[in-house]
Amino acid sequence: MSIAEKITESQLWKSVFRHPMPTDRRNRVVVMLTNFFLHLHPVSVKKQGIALSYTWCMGGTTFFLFIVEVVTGVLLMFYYRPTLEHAYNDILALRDVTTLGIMRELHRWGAHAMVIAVWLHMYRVFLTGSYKPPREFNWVVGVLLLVFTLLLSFTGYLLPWDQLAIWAITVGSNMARATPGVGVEGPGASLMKLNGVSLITSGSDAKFALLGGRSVGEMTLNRFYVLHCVAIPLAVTILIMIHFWRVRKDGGISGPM
Amino acid sequence: MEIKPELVNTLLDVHPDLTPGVMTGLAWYFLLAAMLNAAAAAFVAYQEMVSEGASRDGLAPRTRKLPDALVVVFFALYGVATLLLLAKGFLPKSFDVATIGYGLCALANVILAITAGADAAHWAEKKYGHDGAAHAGPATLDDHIPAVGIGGPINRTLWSIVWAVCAVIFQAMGLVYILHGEYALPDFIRNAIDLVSGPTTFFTGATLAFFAMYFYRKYLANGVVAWWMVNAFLMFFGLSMTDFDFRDIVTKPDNVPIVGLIVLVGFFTWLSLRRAVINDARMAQGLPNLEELDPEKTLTWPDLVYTELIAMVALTIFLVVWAIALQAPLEQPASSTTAPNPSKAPWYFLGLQEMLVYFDPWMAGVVLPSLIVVGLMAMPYIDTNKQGNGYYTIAQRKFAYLTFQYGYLVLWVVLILLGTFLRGPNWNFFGPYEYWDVHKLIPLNNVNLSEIVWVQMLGTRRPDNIILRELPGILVVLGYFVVLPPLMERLFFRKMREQGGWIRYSVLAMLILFMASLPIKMVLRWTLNLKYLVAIPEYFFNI
Repeated sequence: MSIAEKITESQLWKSVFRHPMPTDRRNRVVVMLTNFFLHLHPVSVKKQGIALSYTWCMGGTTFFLFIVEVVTGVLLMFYYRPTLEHAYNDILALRDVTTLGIMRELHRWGAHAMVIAVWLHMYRVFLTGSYKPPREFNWVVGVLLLVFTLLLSFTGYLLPWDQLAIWAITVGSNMARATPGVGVEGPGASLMKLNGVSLITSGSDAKFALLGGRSVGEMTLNRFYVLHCVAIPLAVTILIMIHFWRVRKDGGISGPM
Repeated sequence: MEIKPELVNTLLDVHPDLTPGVMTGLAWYFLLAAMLNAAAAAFVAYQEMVSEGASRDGLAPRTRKLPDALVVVFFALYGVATLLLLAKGFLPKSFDVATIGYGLCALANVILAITAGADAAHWAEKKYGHDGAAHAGPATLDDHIPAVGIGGPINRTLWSIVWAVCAVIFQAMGLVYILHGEYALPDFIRNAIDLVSGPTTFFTGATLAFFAMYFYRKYLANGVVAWWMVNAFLMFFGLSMTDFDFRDIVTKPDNVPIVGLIVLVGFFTWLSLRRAVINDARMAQGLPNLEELDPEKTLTWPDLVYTELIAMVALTIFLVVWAIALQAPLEQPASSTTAPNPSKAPWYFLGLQEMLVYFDPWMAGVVLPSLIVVGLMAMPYIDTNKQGNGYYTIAQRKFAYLTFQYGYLVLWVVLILLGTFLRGPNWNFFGPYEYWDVHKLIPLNNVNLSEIVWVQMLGTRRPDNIILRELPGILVVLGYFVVLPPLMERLFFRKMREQGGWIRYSVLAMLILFMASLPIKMVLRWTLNLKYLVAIPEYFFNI
């Protein structure tokens, strides 16, 4: 018995991998059923459905980039402190002195790539008409994932706390001030009065809620950090699970109906 | 003391079009362009070409094989060049490794291009002979079976030679730069392009190009036409990089992804267009479309999981190389007192920021973005067309295709390009080769509709009553949203309304009208200098 056989016949190995290497038809089928990660897939797929010129591989690319973002993001969280005192210097140190400071580059470029990949994935789904019944709802989930991807990118943009960051967020969040009804400079806000007292002021409007202050400051950094690292990733993870589950339930990889 | 970079620039004129680093970069860029064209020439000359869905049965035997010697020479030259560049540290300083290594690569490109072109010409001669009569030769030129709908077979001889010539031209340009030839895009071309470019020409041009793409899609789907456009883009981009201001904007680290976005969106738009053209032609002939050709299933292991593994490895390599090559941007520490000019949102929101030129923040920043999201979600419920589910087609869903594509390509991607590359200080428009001058003055003489109606047309002063003052605009807006939907239903959407009912139709009409409001507002601005249709700044209500 060779060493390789000894290992693959051991109790330890067999407890992890229930079946031998998927080299024959039977084991290629069971490996998809008994492996937690692989059972995301069906046992067999339509040949044309997995052709690159048809799918462009963009949905999978988006998911992989999300995983890259999670891994590099967690590593960055070990190092970065979201306070006015430390934020900028921590990023500076990541660039100049920290071992594996390249995680920041991977994280940032991965984020840009993820935005592009989401767009291209939706583009393909539109062009092949794959949002049509029975996949309508999964398209809706996909649109939500698009919105959350953009919000993830937007909230992350502030964290380096440099000029690029705060002014981009300032420009972006100024819009909230103009939200109809709940923004201090939005139409209808001046009508929201109780006994002559304005309910919507610059200290109580939508922009204030978003920024945690009248302008981009330390509370904004804190809010965006929590949104970026906890709240939105959680929401995205749940939506991704629904999205994948529905792909299977709605008939698998799309193709001519 | 802080020294302002603008001041230094003005004093020292440090806007060099060409620096040694830029010229080296350009040399390698054109080398890559030459390699792509040499490969295209070799592909046309040697490759057995069977397009999508065409049958391989009855093809001529594969006589036109890529010569082994050519492959060996090509890769050997590139290999030696790589070794030389790697061993740079061990070689004497006087030995100009960079230029010699470059020369070897260039030689490989030229050999590949010329051999491919010459071989293709040789075969053509063999088949037809000098006397013009057809001879029975070993090789024929008719094994290229184009996909249905793409037109006739291409002339292999002609196009191998054309792409070979393109390769040689690109390579010659690369050699000019590696040998320190200072060739920059001529000033008169730059000035002419700057002169004609503006928001009006840029947006109108994009709209026209979009409809040209749609109406001439059959020609665009042809690989030869597409490759011409690739070459045109390569040439335009390469030459533009010789301009300081163009380079300055395009190579900002955060803008690099947008250059990638252009390339990817362009490629995938073309790919989907080609497959749609082929499918439409096939279905018109009663043939199954490309997606129906192979209804077989295959096991996920190994066919899909291996593809995924390879994709993940490739993507990881791509990201790591990108991360090493390009440092993430980090500017001065945040300061709430000194705002940069221009202050820009992240690039994916610049289409929205561009809309601020035409709409108030509550529309451009809140209502319209919300409607984009709502509209996207509503799409599968409004689109009652049962055809075109699961395959590429344009003919079977023209309305959906045109609407979505116009929204995505022109109103989203093109506006992002405009907002990123062509909007400078004070959100003024700057040509692609124009210096971003903070002091550029653009006269703003926009007027509101109430001004036009009461003062300019009726010759009176504007009424004090807000409602009366804004009555013309209110009527226009009400007419737009109340009168147009039933009118449109009568004229264009009768069938759609009958299929989907009034609720679906009303949602569709509202979304279409909101989407159309942006180009309409643009045209009104350019023609009438119109600022707002309804302007009630007292209540922050401007449309």
